[in-house]
Amino acid sequence: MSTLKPISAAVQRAVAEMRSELCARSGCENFGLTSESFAAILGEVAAKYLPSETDQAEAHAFLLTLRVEELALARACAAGVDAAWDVFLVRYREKLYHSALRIARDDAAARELADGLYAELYGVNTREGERVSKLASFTGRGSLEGWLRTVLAQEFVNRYRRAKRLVSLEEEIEDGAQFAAPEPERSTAVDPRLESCTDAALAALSSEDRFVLAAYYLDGRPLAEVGRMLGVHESTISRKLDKLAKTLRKNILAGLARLGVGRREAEQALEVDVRDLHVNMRRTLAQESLGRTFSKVGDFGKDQSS
Amino acid sequence: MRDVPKFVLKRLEESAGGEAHPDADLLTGFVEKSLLESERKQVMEHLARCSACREAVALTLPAFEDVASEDVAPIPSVRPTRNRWFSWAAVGWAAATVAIVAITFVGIREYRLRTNDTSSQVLMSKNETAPPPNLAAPPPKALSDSDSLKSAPQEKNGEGANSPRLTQPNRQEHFSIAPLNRLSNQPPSPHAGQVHGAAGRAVSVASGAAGARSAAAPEPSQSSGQGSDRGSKAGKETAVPPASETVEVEVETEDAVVPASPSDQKAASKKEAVDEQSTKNFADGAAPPQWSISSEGALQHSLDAGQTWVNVNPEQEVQQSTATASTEIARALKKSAQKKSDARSNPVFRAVAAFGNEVWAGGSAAALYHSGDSGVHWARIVPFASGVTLSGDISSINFSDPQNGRLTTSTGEVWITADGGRTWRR
Repeated sequence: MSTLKPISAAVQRAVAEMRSELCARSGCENFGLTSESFAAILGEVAAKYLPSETDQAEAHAFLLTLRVEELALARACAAGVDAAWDVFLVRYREKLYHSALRIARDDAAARELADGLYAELYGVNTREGERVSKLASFTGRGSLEGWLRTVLAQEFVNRYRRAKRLVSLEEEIEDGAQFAAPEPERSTAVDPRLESCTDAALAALSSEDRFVLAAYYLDGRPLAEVGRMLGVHESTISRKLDKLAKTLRKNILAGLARLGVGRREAEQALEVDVRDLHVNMRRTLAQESLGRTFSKVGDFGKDQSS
Repeated sequence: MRDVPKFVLKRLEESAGGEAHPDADLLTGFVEKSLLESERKQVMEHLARCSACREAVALTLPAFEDVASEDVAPIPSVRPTRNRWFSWAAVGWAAATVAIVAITFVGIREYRLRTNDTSSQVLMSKNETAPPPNLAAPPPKALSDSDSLKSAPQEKNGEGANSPRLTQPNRQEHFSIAPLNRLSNQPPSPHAGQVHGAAGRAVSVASGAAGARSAAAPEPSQSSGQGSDRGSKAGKETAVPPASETVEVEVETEDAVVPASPSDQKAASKKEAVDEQSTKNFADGAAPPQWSISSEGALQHSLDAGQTWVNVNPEQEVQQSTATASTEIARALKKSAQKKSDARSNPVFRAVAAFGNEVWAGGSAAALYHSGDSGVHWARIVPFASGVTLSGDISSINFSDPQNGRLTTSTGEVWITADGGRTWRR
C-alpha cells in the first residue's frame, strides 16, 4: 500500500515512542519484517487515517488500537515471505472459503470467489514489474478475518452488478421481459414545496437515522439484520423506525404549513403514489434496491484514495 | 409500525451521492466498531446513501455476532464520545425493562395460581364417591325414594356412592367432578338439561326478603321447598323462563341451603315445568332435569319435573375430589383449593343456564361451574383471557346453544365463549 500523505511530526514521535512495544506485540520479526520496516508501516497507517493536526497523544491512542500482529502478518505476506504465507494459510484458508460460502450461498460461486481473492492476495497482478498483493492494503483497523470477509463481500457485490448488466437478451426474453418502448413519463409534477420540505426533513436526520431508513425501507432488510449492522437489538431499530416515521411526517407537515400549504392538502401530497410522480429516470437508475443494483460510480476499490 | 410516506423514501433514494466508497479497512472497522467517532460518522453518512456499501456491510457481518454491544466504545479519541453515555443509558433502560418484565411475570403467575387455572378451564379428576351436597337438615320425605334421601344428605364426606336420591334410579345421586376430559365417560343423562327459572325462587324470596329480581315475569305459585329452607321463606311458585334464558337472582344469604322439609317438597312438586321450548332432550325423550337457584343461592335441580328438588354444590364436589384423587394435578388443585375462602367453598349461586345436557351455574366470587351431563359431573371453570380472569359475582348466564354463551358479572364484565367454554373473551 502506498500513501501520498506525509507523516506528521507528532505521528512520527508517537511511532518512535511505541515502536519497540508494538514490534514486540506484533512478532513482526517472526514474519520476516524488521523493526524499522514495521515502524514505517505503522507510520503509514497512522498518516492515512489521522488528520494532520493530530497530536502525539491521539496518535499514541490510535496506534494502540491497531491489530499489529495481523498487520505484520499481512504485510509480510504481501512482501512474499513464505513463512508468513504458511501462517496465513493455516489460519485463514478455511475461514476464507467459509466466508465466501456464506456470502455467495453457492458452493461453486463461493469457490470461485475465494480462489479469485486468493490470487489477488498472493499477488498475481503486477505493477511496474512488481507483484502487487491486495494484502498490502490491509491496515490493521479491524481484524484480518473481518477484512477478508469485507473484501469478499465487495467483490461479490461488484460481480453481481456486472452480471446484472450483462444479462443476455435471450434470458430476458425467456423471463418474459418485454422490450417495448418505454412508457411515457406521467405528467404529475411534484410540488416543489413538498420536495424542499422532504429534503429538509431528511437532512435534519442523523446519518444513522437515514441509514436505518435506507436499510429497512429501501434495501428491505429485516429489523434483526439492521440491528446487527449497527450493533443494537432489533427492538431498538423498530422503535427508531417508528419514531422516525412520526418525526418525518410531523416535520414535513410543519414545513408545508410554514409554506402556506393547508393541512389536508399537505397530507394528501404526502400520500401521493410515487409511480405517479414525474421521475428522473437517470437518478433513479443510479440507485436500486435490495442489492440488485449498485452505485454506478465505480466499483469497490477503484475510487479509494489509496 | 408506522410507515414512512413513499415520497419520502423516494427522496431518500434519490439522495445517493457519488462519493468514493470507504475502503475495506474502514468498513471492517465499522462492523467491528473499531473506528474513531469521526470516522464512524463519515462511514455512516456514506452508508446512508450507498446501497452497495450497505450490502457489503451486511454480507460482512459475522455469523454469530453479539449484537448487545452498544457499550462497546469506539477508539478512545480525544473527545468523549456519545456512545459511552448512550451505552450507560441503554444498560439502565435494559435493566429497568428486565425488572418490570420479571415483576409482571411473577405477578401473573401468582395470580394464576390463586385462581387455580392457567387456561380457561380447570378440570378436576373424577370422584365417584362424592356425597350429596352439605345438607344438614333432615332429608325431604316427599320423594318416592325419600329413604335414600334421608341418609344421603347427612353424608357430607361419605361414600354414598349409588344411593339413589332421586326418582331416576339409574342416576348417581352424588355429583362428582369430571376428569380432565370433561366430556366424561359417564353416559349423558337421559334427561336433557332444563333450566328452571329461579324466578320462582326470586319471587319467593322477595316475598320474604327484598331484593330479588327475576328475568321473567313470574306467576305466583307454590314455592319450591328445597331452596327455601326451614320453611320460613316458602314462597310461591312462578312460571319459569325458558331454559336458555339467564335468570338473575339476588340472595341475601351465603349459607348453604339445607334440604327442605317434607312440606316443602310437596310444594316443590307443584312447581310448573319449564317452558317446552327451552327443553332439549338429546336422549330418549324423557323429561329433562330442571335447574333452579334457591332464594339462599343454592343450585338445585329436579329430575321429576319439579316435584322434588335437590341441592347441588359443585364446589364441594371439587374439593372432595381433590382430596381423594391421586394424580399430581389433583394434589396441586387440592393445595390450591385449601387456600380458598369459605365463600368459595360454599358459593352463592346467582345464575344458571342449561342447554340440553350442558348446564352452567355461576355465582359469587366468580364461581362458575359446568356440567356436560346434566349435573352428573361438574367442572370448575375460570374464564381467562389476555392475562385477566373473570372477577366479581356472576350475575347472569346466557347460552343460546351449547357452544355460544355469555356471562355477565356484578362488576360489569361480559365474557363470551363460542366453543362451549373452552375459550373465553371479554
